[in-house]
Amino acid sequence: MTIERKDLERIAELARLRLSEPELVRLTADCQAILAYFEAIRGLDLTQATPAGTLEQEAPMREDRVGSDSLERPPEQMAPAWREGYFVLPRLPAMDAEGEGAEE
Amino acid sequence: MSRLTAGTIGELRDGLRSGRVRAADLLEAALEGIADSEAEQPALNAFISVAGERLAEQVDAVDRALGAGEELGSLAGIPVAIKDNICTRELPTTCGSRILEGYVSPYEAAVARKLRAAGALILGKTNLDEFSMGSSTENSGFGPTRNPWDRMRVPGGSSGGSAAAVAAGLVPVALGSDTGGSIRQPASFCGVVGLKPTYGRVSRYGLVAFASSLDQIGPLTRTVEDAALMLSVIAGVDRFDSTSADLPVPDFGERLDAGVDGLAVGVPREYFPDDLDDGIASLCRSAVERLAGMGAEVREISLPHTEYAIPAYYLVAMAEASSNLARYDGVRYGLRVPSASSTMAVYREARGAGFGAEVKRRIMLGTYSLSAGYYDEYYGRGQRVRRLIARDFDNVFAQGIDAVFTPTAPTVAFRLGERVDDPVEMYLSDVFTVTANLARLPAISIPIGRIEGLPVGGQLLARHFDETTLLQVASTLERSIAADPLDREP
Repeated sequence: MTIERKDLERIAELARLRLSEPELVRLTADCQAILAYFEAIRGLDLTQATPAGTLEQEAPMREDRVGSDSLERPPEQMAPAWREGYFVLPRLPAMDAEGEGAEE
Repeated sequence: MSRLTAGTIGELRDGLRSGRVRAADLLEAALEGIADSEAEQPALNAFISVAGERLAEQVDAVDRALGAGEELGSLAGIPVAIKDNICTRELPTTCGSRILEGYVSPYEAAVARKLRAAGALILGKTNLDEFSMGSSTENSGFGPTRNPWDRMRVPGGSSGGSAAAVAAGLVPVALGSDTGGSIRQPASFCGVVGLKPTYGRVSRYGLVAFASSLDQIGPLTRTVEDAALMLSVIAGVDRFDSTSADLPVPDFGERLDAGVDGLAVGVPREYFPDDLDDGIASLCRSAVERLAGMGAEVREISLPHTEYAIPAYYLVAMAEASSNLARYDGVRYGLRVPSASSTMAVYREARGAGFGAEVKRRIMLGTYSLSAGYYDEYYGRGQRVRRLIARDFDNVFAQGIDAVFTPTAPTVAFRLGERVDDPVEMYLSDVFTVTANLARLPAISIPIGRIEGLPVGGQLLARHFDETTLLQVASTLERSIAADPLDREP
């Protein structure tokens, strides 16, 4: 199995990554080489092997109960900007184009 | 090396308690050492940020308490460095990435809190491969760290800054994180001790996640004894990490002097391939002979799925990384690209500009292996192979093996730039270390000699949560090798 440039363009969309043309060219070659190396495990008989992490090593569950933990610092002290209980984010140009009424 | 901070914790603690040294002297020595390491060209570049004078108040308090004869924590006044993927509240946490430049965490990691509670001075944050993705510390957004033994070579990675800082005597101990060998391989390249505890032994709360089922925090130190002491400080269950184990924390140093008489040490043939470097093979043989000479029963063993470890490891690690790194979206953290015109463009532009080449490569492959139609073929298969590798170790421990000995890395430190253009070659640097992470076992690298002046590490592995035996064997081997004096220090 190999990976082509069109596959990588689709994956970049899924991964929310902007890639330049030289990056796409390089990544296509790198990913092909890496996946070719990974082919080694395709010949293994895995019918008797359950995936790790699904049986005894499963994370323990705890009771779903609301506790009294609070943040060490209130959120307004972490935020670059805070107003009326909300984080204030920089305005996107697209919002102006759509005529939405967000502040800042 | 005459710098005060080049001592062990025990030596520094004795100095502090006897009044020969003040905590202020240690801080001054550490800061001078860091400044010197940056002034020499090419610079060591072990640290991304340094606390410096901000620690003056804490240092004064330690010196006053010592003067008054008060009982202090086990690390009181000891300067400690922390890998920059572990959250601290006073210093930024960058993960070696430009996407997190300037980020200061609103909370601190469990291990940072425990170090401070023991009285340690958190001196600074050390350099690493971006988000711990690399084996050379060349993938940092803040420039590569260099190896103190030869500055034209890499220190290993991803905890290369921590390993270099300890090897250069800038601090006696440092914390790193190990996902596929990121503590042990740089320890090998820099001639220090590196311990990866059992998965679950140390809380990962506040460790920025790379691959959550593999990551574990551990110490880099000058001696096995210091590794045991550091582990005693940072280990234990934590309700903020549901994967931390609710088990008693023993005195990990209680059997350091017990020797290896009666213990069985397994030497897996798959870790000594025909093409293994002759010098490394010879030093490993010598280490095994030392253990046998001190009463250990040495047995050749087989871990038959070893050859599949690298593909299985990278499939699992890349998939988990692509999921964990989805949170860096240009909105909640760090870098934001102001020209982006839509929400989706904000994400794509920030991630495109903020991540380096190796991180992008792994996010792409991880996303691919998790995507519809490929999940079973790649990620699912990787997890199944992981189970086989873990079973290999279960089998040898069930046959009475107490510890397994292997080389830590297939080579000594390589030259900067030598492998950056060949990702598969770089991934093979981890060939002997990834299995401990896949099987969640404790493992340690200790110096076993040198080849043409460059350090070589030997690796020991033990049963889950049996760090005490692991450290016992490591300490015995360390003392035997120490009887042959080292010919130079960096």
